[in-house]
Amino acid sequence: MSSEEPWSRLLWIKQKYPDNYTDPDFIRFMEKMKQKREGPPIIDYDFDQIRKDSLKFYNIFLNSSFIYIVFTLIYYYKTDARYLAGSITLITMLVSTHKNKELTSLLNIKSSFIIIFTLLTLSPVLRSLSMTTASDSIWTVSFWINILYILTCATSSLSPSPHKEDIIKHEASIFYDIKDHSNNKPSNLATNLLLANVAMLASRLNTTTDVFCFLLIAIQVNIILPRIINISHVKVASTSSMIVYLFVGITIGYRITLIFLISSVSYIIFMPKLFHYWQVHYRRRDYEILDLWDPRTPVVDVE
Amino acid sequence: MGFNIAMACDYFYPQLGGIEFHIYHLAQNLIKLGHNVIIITHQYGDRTGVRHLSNGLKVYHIPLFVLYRETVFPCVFYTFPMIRNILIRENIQIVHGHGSASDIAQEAILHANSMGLRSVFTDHSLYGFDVLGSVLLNKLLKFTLASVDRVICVSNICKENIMYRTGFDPSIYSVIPNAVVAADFTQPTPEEQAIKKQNGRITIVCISRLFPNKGCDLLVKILPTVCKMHDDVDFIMVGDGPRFIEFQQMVEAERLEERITLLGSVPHEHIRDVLCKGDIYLHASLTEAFGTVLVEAASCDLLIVTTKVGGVPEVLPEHMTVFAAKTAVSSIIEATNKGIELIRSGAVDTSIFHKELVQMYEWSDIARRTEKVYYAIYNSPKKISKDWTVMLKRLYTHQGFWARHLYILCAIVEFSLILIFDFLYPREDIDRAPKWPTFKEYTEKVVEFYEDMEHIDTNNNDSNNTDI
Repeated sequence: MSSEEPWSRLLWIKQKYPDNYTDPDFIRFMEKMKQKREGPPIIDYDFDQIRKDSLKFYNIFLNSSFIYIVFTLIYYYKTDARYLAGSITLITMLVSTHKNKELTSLLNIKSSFIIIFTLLTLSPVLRSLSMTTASDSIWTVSFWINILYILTCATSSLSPSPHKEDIIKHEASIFYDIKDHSNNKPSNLATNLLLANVAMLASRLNTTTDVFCFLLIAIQVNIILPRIINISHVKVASTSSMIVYLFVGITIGYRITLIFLISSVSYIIFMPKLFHYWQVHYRRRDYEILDLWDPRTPVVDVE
Repeated sequence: MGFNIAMACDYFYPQLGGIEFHIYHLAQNLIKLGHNVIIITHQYGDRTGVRHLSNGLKVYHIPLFVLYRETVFPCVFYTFPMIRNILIRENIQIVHGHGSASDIAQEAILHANSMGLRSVFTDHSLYGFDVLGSVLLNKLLKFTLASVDRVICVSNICKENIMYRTGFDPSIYSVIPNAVVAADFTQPTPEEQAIKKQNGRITIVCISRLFPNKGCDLLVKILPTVCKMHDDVDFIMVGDGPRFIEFQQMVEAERLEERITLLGSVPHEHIRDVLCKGDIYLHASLTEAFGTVLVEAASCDLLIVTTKVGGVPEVLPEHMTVFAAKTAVSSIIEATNKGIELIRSGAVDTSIFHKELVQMYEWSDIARRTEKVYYAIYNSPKKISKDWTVMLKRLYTHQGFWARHLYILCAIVEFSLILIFDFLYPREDIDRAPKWPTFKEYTEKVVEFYEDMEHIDTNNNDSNNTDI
């Protein structure tokens, strides 16, 4: 081996180095990567953030189950839809006035009227729209749309990582600032999925009034209220949980409620921990994947 | 005294390709050096059983289920009885597997190690770390190659890739490139050169299997743009693949039927004739471990325009190539323009390429270097132990908890299978195949034969005349 001629990374010249000579730079690189793999994780994941995100998911699930509660009350228990709609509208009004001392602006009143008249026009159409479809199909489709709705809602509202102070400020109060649209706006896709779901369920109802009331309640509970109040707040979340569990308990039976309760509690407690464990122990390697040997991406920069 | 070597790979004749030619030429040249080589592959259609190629190269086509792209269904122990039988029958000392994606190669190495034989593995491709397939393959490699004696790679980048994937002692990895058969890729004959000069046009040849990783998306844009820029440039596209239709559409949409010739798939023996029609070889691949086609094209005196990916920068000297800085259309067009300019002005003398390349890449040289690797296995002070307990210990050092225990389980099953086979089909009962004579043995036999013939001839001189 000659010391004068340095090893070069070429195959076409005959070098004095043996075939199993390895570039010392590469050996150093391997050592460095090995230390990095075995060392402590570089990125420290925020467990609180994970917990909050998974709770948010749970809250959206709770919130969407209100559609089914209201629907069951009207469709199965033949509750008078007008009283339900009236009471929920009253709550909504109270909540929004509680927040905004200057009262809802003229613009809001205008848009409310537009929405109400649109609903009134649509109600008879919706009622007769899909009478030919079997109820079972409607339940199935509604179930899948609801799952999609929860997923889109949950994924769109997951904040990447805003400033910590902002989150703390948000979490502390029950009410959102109505002018602040940063955190509580559902995506268009989610809103459309929700409306599709509600419209489909409404086609099963008997009278036009029922349809109108049902639509009104669904829009208030799932679109307007989550924009005004913070559904992730402890008080709000526990109230909705109580309503949902009580309803399920009374209508279906306490055994199923118990199973439901146990699974949701274990979800709330264990899921964030599992996810956190996965991120720390497995996902962190994703950041260290080398692209040295990957096929290069083609760049088409000429038309 | 030569070794008895078994090359194991899924890909072999009648299929054609880089690995297939590598195995064939390496085997032929090792035979010339006095070794005894057999090849283990799977069946191709009705080509099953034992076949012989030139110089006594014996090929075992094992009947196995082909899963995907000529690779057999991976099942760790299924091939064991057959491979054990072949290895004992042929008295094999070294098992040489080719190709990470080849299942037969990996299984043969695994079985050879358990049987206490020496093993060598050659890798021909690059693998990333972000595709599920590659991740699984890497896990499998760590298991099958745990006790391999030597690893050979076709280029430095390929070596670093497999070093990173497997992580054994650096001294067992060697770099031995592919070579080119100089007689198959000769310079254009004077007549061919005359035809080329006649019309004064420049022809660019592209050879590609038209898979996305060969840069088809780039080529489809490059070809019409270059045609628009230069009126005296024509293209010849060779190769078939999933993206062929896009090229057809491009040619029709841009009305370039007279400028771009799409030849489709061309048999390997005719590639040289196509190459000799061109002046420039254009290569837009996105990944490449070695790029044999570049060497073949340069051997036919073509100027090479290529992307700078993988092992490509290691393969050819700078005066034969024009590199594109990026895998971008604009960048490759720029490099192509530079290549065209070089050819037009005559600034580069391509007629010396062939002679230079013949000295750089020779199969006999490759075979000698491979032979050195074989000898190193036996002469090295750090021999890889083939003791079962040592091999188990080696497997147990793997970091992953589940992988480690799965490896151990598989290894124990493997070792028990050997005991079972040794009991059911004892080694003594397996026929030993007679070896094809080496050249020296052959000449001795021939001399002996003629002496006998003379003896016979003198006895019955009259009766033999008519038969000849």
